[in-house]
Amino acid sequence: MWGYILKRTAAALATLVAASVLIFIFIHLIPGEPAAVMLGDAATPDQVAALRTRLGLDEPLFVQYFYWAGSALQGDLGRSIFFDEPVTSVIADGAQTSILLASITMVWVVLIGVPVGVIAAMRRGSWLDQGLSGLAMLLASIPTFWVGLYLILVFAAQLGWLPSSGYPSIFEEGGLANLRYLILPSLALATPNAALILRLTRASMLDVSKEDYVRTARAKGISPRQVTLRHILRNALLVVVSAFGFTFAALISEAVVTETVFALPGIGRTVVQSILRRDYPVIQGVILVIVCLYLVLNLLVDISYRFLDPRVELE
Amino acid sequence: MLVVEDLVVSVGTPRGALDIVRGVSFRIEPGEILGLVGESGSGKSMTSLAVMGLLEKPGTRVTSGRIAIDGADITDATPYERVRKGNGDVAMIFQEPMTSLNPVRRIGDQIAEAIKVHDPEADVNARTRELMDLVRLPDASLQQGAYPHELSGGMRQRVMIAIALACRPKVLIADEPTTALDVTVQLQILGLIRDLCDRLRMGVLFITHDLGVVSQLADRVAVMYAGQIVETGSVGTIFSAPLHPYTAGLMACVPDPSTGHAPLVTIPGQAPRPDEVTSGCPFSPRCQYAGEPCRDGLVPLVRVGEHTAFCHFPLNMGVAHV
Amino acid sequence: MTATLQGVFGAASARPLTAFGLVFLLVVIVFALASPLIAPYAPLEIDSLNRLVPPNAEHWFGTDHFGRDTFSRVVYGARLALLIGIGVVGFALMTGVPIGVVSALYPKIGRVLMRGVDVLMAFPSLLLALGLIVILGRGVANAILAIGVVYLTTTARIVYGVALRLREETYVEAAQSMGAGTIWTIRKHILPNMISPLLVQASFVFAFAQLGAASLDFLGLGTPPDIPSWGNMLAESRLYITRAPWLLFFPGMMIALTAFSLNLTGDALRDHMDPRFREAMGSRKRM
Ligand SMILES: Nc1ncnc2c1ncn2[C@@H]1O[C@H](COP(=O)(O)OP(=O)(O)OP(=O)(O)O)[C@@H](O)[C@H]1O
Ligand SMILES: [Mg+2]
Repeated sequence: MWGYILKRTAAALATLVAASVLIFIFIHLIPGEPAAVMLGDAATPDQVAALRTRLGLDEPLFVQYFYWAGSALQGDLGRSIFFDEPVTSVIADGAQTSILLASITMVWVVLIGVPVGVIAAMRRGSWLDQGLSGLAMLLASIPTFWVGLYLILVFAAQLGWLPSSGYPSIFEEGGLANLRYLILPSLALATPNAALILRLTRASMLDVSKEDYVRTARAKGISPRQVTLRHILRNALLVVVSAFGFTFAALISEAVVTETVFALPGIGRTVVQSILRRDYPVIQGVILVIVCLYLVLNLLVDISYRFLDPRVELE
Repeated sequence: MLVVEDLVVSVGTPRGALDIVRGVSFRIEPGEILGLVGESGSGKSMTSLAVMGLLEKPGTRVTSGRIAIDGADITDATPYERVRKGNGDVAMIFQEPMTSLNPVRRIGDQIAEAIKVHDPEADVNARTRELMDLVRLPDASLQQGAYPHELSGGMRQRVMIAIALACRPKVLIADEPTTALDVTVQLQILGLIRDLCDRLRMGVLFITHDLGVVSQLADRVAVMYAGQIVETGSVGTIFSAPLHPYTAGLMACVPDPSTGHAPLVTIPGQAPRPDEVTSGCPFSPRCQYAGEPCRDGLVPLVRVGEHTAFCHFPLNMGVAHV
Repeated sequence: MTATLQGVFGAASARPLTAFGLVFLLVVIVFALASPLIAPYAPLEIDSLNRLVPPNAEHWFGTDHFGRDTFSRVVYGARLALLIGIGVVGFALMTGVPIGVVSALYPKIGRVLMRGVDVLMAFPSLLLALGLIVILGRGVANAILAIGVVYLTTTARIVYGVALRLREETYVEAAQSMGAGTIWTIRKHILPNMISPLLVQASFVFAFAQLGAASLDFLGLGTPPDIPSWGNMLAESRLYITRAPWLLFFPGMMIALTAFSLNLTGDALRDHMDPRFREAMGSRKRM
């Protein structure tokens, strides 16, 4: 087991290093002199020269990379040009909101996607199943921001039940009641993802129910309910659980749009604003952090999957 | 005693229902092994699944006939329904021991699951050990916690047999249980089945392609062709004096075990697919003895003692039957 | 190929939803090809006297804040939808297929190439596209490229999976052991078997390219604002959602139904696909 964990961790680290190189050279791929690009058209040559020195842009590229990666390892992702504060603190501000949003969304996805998928699979071929599967396919095809705008229109503008934008942190005045600011955004974000998990759950239930061991279970004379719960569902969930890590990471990325619709102070919105402000150190920092998060989540899912599924050889 | 009478099983196809098993009858006494042989596609598995109540594919069902065990009608009953009515006494083992056990559950739990259904009172742990000993799984205490992938094919088939025995079956159906195993393991499993059959006074329906296996293991043989049982009799008579030309042909196809040479004769042509079967004797298009009466209408039953066959022109009628 | 198409039409007659999908796609194609004939107004024609008019006999889908006719803009938007879809699918296939095939046939090169694909896949799709837009700048072609790179990765993975399976199959091995050249093997054995997995993948990519492009437009980083794309229409409608909800409804519906129809088509194709390759398809990657 430990050998396996080590091997997978090493692979994830290698991917991270390669990804960090891509993220690093990213500003050098933008046409134009990086320092001038960052400062915009109004910058004086002096300012450009000062920034060049500050960012170490006069050094050879690979020296710059090691300098950058070295600081990143020590938790220093550079300074935001726009805010003139450390990138890490800009990210930290947004991360709280984004992670909370993704977590609440994940709760919806699991609570709705999995049980409804199970119901559809158990009623395979019925009108209910066809209706649910068709609906899920439709919902998976809808842009999240469109769902978001409709939720705002109905629940905020017309009914006035919930706030339409912004999010004061739960640590500020209002406390946990501030979570209501995240209800509509999380629902918008959950819609396509719950639909995809629903379809995945249904499909893997149907796949598993064709397995020989399910026939063995039936032959024992246990009740159909127990066959479904103990043999089909349990094995089908292995597949579904392994999709959760991927889904969570996808949520962080899709939150870019949702946070913009609902004007939430998350890292997704920070990315978009930083793109418009040409605040490249922030863009680099956020992408690096999200890629790290993605790799860690996938690693955890992979490892926990090996614990759940004894079949896999433990090298 | 298991009695199957005029069993017809049909499947749903885009072009309507199609009979796969076409009027099969047989009976199995306690402590008796009935070997069911026939070419691939002749409907052996379909017959056994029908008896078991495991016809699951949509549109697949028993259209007529009767299945009874010790007088209780179990036609159309799933294993769960049979257990609830107190007739939970048919059990089955399958061809693929590799895929027939749930890969993510310990084998002890998989056996225990069956015990809890059929012996609600029993001490599950003790009974599990007992069953594992019965099927000669070594180190019962250790193996109980093992996962299927940790066992060899032969061991897994023993686990499958233990699960089947946990159902306290009066009849055990074994659908090609040794085809996926190598020869030595195959012999061990066959020996185990024979032994259990004798000790537990259990009837066994043993399905196979392999006539060699049947001759060693079975008490009686039923030969299936195109969804029908064309000949039934004791092993001795069927092998020494087959009545049906198909049975005779099958036996001519077996390689001679003394020389190991490939068979000299093969039956010309191919078995009809279920949608090609016409009236008359289904074997007649391939039969060298077939005459005008074979092509149409009912085929008569010939009976020599307990040995029966459906044929207009049976072979070996003059031979003294043992 | 013909068998696959027959499969789709067979499935369409059995499944009313698939039939709906095919019909809707046809409508989008007709809109795109014959926009000037179908649209009653020019898409950019401003009519300051008729701003934010609700749907009526003259303006079926109402008008926007410049008094432009929403229906006409929706019709012209189909052009962009088709352009983006074809562009992204084309790019993903032209890059993903060679990468996948070469990786499968030459394991040494493959190890490097597929690791590269893995690295790209570590970037969440929308972020990857956004990063590329930062480098390339805003524009239709750049949006196609940015989304195309995202689907290059999934396409390469699928092609790699299918090609690996095919390579192991006896007839390819036999052909190679008989001295058949690699190019010949690819043309004769690998590509023909690749068609139906690729058709399925193409439908999904086409579908999700619509969502990716809409997201970029919505963030103001996709199609330039003067081009009537459905995403741009939605972005502009944001300020008027309470006063003019129809501006939100029609373009959003077009995006959703186009993606929906393509997903349905992809599913129908997949159900008729050789089961050996189905597992190589993996799950779909939404943007
Ligand atoms: N859903 C179905 N539709 C049409 N034909 C079917 C269907 N299911 C099974 N069959 C046909 O039923 C026939 C009998 O199958 P069965 O599995 O009982 O044969 P078998 O004697 O067990 O063969 P084998 O020795 O290969 O296991 C086969 O010819 C098969 O093609
Ligand atoms: Mg069979």
